[in-house]
Amino acid sequence: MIKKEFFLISLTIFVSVIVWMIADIYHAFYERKIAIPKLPSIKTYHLDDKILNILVEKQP
Amino acid sequence: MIKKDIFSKKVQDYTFSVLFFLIFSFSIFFIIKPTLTTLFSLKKQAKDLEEVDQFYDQKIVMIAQVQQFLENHREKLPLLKEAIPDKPNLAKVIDDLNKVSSESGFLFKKIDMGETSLKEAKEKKYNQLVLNIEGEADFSKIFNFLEELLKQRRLKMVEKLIITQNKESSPSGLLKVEMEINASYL
Repeated sequence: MIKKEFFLISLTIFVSVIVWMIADIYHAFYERKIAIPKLPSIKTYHLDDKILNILVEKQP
Repeated sequence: MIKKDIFSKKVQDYTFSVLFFLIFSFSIFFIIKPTLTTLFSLKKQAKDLEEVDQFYDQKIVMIAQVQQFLENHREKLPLLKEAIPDKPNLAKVIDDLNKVSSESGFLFKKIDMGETSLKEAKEKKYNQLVLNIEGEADFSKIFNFLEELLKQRRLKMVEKLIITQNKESSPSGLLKVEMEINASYL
């Protein structure tokens, strides 16, 4: 009987270690390592040349 | 009797299994798990770095576009600041009006500032300086005044214009003018 209990204990340890390993790998794979840095937003500018040409013609 | 018990088939199987599970658990815990964890962690790190790299690439392209834009319009961009300055520059507006007035022959009777909200409204993209002007001139001079005013680089809008016949004036035909001029600033 004691042999069977030893067997069950060792099997439980084995299964626990396997589950622990899977959980650890899952955590390592899904945890974000490097965060995307927060940089100021850069706008795209559109300027009509007509406006500048009109302003060139005007008096300062 | 003992010897026979130890080497019986059943006992041997259990001993093998127990030893196998214990040794394999030990090797998993101390060898396989750290290796696999490091492997997947590095894989994830590489993926994250690719994302960050892509993000920086996008920003660099946008900065290059802005730089190109500034390079193309370098000479003309100060004109925008002259047209719509970042401060009201009231003295400059009055000076502009005086200049136009002396050029066109428009006579000022009164200039006062209208209501200006000092509260910076967030939704407003620009502010306005309101000037109420009263003056006298004949029609051609009024026309010249407005023409010269709108030729100036500092942007001004004539929001309201009332021209009435001045009954008190001499028979020279001077007209009474009331106008509201808005000068914009950022």
